[in-house]
Amino acid sequence: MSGAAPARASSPVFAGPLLQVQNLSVTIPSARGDVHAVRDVSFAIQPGERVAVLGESGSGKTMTALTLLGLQTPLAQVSGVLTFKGRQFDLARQRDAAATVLADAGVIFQDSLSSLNPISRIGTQLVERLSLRGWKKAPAHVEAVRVLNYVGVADAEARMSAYPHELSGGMRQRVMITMALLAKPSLLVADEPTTALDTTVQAQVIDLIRAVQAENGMSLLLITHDLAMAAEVCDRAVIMYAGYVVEDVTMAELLRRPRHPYAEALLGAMPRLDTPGSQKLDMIEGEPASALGDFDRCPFMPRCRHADAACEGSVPALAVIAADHVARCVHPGRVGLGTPA
Amino acid sequence: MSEPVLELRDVTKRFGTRRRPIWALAGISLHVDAGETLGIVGESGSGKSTAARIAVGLDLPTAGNATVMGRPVSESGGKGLVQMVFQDPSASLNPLLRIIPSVREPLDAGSGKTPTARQSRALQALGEVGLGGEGGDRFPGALSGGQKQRASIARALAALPPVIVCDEAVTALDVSIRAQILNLLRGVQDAHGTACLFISHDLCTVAYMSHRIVVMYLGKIVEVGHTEQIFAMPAHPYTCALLSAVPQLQQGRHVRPRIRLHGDPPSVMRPPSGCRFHTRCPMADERCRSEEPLLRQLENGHLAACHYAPVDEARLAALAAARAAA
Repeated sequence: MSGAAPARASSPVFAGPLLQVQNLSVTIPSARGDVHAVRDVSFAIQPGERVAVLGESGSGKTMTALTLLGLQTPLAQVSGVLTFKGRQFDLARQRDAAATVLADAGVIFQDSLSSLNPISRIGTQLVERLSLRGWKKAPAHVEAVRVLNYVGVADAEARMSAYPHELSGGMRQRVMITMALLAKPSLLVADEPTTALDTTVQAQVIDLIRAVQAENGMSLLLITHDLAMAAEVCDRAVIMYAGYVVEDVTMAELLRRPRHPYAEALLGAMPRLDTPGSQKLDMIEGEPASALGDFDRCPFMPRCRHADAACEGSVPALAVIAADHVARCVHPGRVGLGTPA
Repeated sequence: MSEPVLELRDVTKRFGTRRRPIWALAGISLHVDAGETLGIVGESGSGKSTAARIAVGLDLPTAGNATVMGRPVSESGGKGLVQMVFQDPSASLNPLLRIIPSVREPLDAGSGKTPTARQSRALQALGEVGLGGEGGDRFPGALSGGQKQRASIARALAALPPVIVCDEAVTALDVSIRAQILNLLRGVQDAHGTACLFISHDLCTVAYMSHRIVVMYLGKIVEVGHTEQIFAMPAHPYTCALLSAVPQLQQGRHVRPRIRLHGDPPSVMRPPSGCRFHTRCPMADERCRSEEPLLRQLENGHLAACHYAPVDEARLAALAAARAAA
């Protein structure tokens, strides 16, 4: 990385978290019935904090992020309360809430090729981004080149006149990061930013996101299915299953002792390099829960090795494990004690 | 030593035209022994999928040969002896065919068994992958991704081939389903003594499945060894970098020295001179730019194609850091 970091985000003038969601629900009507993509989700991101929202496909992690940015499908029925920089919005009524967040967030999507305009040069797109914020063309060009340099794009001046398809996947993701940084955001949202990249390039982009976050002091919301990557980058994990937050915990504590059986099972189901092939992987039996309809029991119950009759009847409430640790389980005391009996 | 089940010898594959050739495989040799799982890891453009397609006879090598049980894969006798599990189970099952006939197809295609025997073997194969009962009467559209991949595995194993090829077979699946499929594959392999060529970009998965591992870069093999050898003593700079690039669950604590490569993998259309890795290698020198290193044996079964193998990971990390700072 070269060149000076963009100016730090100014210190917060609000108290408490940068962003807080309370009881967020997103329902999308479909021919087969209502899809409950997000169910009663609450979490917070402190200034400068790096939070990973983890889950498998259909868990609601991406829909949660899209809704906070106002990018959800127009059909979606949204409810919940969003607090951003001390301003509170009722998401069911105030459609402008998301615009407030979006204006102060930089977003990096998985597929950089479809996120950039294919028929417009990189430079044009970067300068346009600054023009929207009132920059004149010439200084905007200089600023774009400076930030491209900063994120490690070699020969930045020449790259300004390239089209997106002329760049490699890693290079395009750097352009996306540049685009995000130009707005001097207080929140960086990254949705599976490295899934489409090769392993060695993925490592470069992860390093870059970490460095950019640390040097600029912004908060990071990382949406991913990759627990190992989240552990490398983030301070806190919000784990989702079937649209619910099932555990919200610091990353260190998650790795030490998870308290939701799904989190526990995920940790055991990952092949690891330190134990190649020697141990059998713990399996999570069965299939992920459906997003259709309502649950009259714990959504993870059919796949859970700790389940018993207490898990039936209703969806468990979030149990408070510690001041900054909750788990949606009726038996958190049984979880995370090592191999099953 | 007994004859390998599957063997690629000096295989090259050229795509594109004669004037503008793209060498997807620039000369590789590998073998899979009976009951063994050989993993291939590599990034996009490494040629790992081309190797898989040649191993099952879907593509013909430009030069060299691919044999299964000593017979050429492309000839009729060899074809049924190796089966493949693809990445996308939705695209590899006929959507208009119920699961049972799909699974039975390799048997119908020339096993010489009676219809009753074929049907019962297909049902048995479905049972082995956990799709017994009415699972086989359904259409692929009614199955989840994990179930479809189970059906693909049942089809691959229906005729009890001596070897199967899995190309990114679990990449499209969620973590919790992935573990099921990996354990299932290991189980059925153990039950039938089936050998496997297991291809993935994911080092962790390959490590979990394989007895031996081949590391590929731009159409060439850069390192081969037993899984323990590759992980305990990676000898090629690219292998070292690949291992250090994998995110680890231990937070903030790196077991391995951090080796960060510069830039992207070069295009296969214009491979670098000399050692193909020299443009990204932290320790490349003049010799690497001009002279191509050959795959040479370091110790029993452990080979690397680097002039300076085995390399010291700590020294490599220091050189990579110095290069990044420059």
